[in-house]
Amino acid sequence: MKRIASAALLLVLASTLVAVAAQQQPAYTSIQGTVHALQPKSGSLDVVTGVGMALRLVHLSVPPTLASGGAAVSMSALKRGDIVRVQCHYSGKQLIADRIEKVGPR
Amino acid sequence: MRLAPAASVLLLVALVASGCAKPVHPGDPISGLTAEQRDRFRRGRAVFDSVFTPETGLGPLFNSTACGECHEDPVSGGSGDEVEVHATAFHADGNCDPLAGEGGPVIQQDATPALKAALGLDKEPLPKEATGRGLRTSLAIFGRGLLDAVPDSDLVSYADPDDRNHDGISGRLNRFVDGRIGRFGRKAFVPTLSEFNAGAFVIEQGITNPAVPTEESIGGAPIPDGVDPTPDPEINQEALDLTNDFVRFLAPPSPLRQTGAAGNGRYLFDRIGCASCHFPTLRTGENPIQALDRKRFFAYTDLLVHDMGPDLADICLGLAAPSEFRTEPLVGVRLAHHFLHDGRAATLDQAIELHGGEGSGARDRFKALTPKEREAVIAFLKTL
Repeated sequence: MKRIASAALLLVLASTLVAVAAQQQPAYTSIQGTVHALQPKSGSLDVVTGVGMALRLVHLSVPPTLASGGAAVSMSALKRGDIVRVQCHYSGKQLIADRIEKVGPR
Repeated sequence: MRLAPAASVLLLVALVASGCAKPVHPGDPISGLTAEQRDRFRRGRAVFDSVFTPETGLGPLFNSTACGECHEDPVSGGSGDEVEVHATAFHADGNCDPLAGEGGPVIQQDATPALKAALGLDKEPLPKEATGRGLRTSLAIFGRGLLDAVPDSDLVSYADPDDRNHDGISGRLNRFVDGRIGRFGRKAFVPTLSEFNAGAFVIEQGITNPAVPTEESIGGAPIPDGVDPTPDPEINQEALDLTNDFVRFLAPPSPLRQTGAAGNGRYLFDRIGCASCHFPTLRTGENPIQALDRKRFFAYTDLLVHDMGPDLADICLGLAAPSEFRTEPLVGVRLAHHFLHDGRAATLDQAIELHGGEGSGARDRFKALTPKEREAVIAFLKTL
């Protein structure tokens, strides 16, 4: 009985932590913003986005297998200051890019 | 898109005449609202004036405890005596870093007791990456809903970045981080009024909301545990929408009667070139709100950024270089106590004389006027 109670308590705590974590970061599925920094070798892409003057730096991991073609581009086609639209998903706390489109230079 | 001077004067006369029937006072709503919209305006004003505490979500970093704390004179939506600190980094390659990873361009000047206890901070530290620091006064926000409703295509038509007409004025569009055309803020960085408001709740008061559900970081560092226990978002969508409606429906006050010297000043304002950037009127586009639908209104701005010279330069933002600022809307300027983006000018004469860059031509023509003519221009401005 004690084990069941402890397990239930842990479950509640874990779900609370997940909920708090979810509140601290918007659930991005798509981001449009300015490329702040990029490291094609390590697959790291930082994009500035936000609402009004509340700006946020969003870090994305870009898989080496990311498809390009059509409107989609690879990281090598990007430079700091470009405006990009990124479709993405979460893997744990990590935001993974699924598709990057270059909207234009600023 | 610019009106011929004669047409502009006729339109001004018509607008003033219509205003004479029922003058709009500072703090009034725009005319033509439905009863429901007027009710939302009143309820929105209550949210705008709500004072937040740490228990209701204030902070942990903040500049003010209420929208109405900084926009209060002579009524809610007016100006304030607070001065903000903004900072960004302008790089040699022309890129402007808004320091989003270091807490953003607005450097909050106050902190809740819990944050002070946790980190010993009285305010947000200035990021060491900053290359520029700018001061920003709290200006009146009358008529911003009308400015919001001007089509982007009009702004595009006003821009003349290469000065093709050789008038010395080369207004440029600024753009937000996602590429959309900006128009709000001293650098015309923010595209829409509702986004400006949603962002302002967070950066000014630390009040998260459905549009911006996360707090500002502490100079890029996370908020210590237990410092901001109020669940996010700290206001709901209805409170945000009501605030938007209050600001959107806040009317530009009617100009005072422009007789005698002021009437001559209006003519001189146009003749010496002030109206090349401070467009007397703008027109809204099609809008689902009838009171904002295809309305011509006094604006005295083109919503573009202009190079104002090195003496006024401070920070970059978006595409705007440190010396570029949005043409300040002059509606309600008679109610202001200090002028220019950082309040450095104590009088309208000083503000004009501090214009540089693209404004230097009009400034020089103003200085070349006779004392009586200069007084007339100032008399005109004091009717707006």
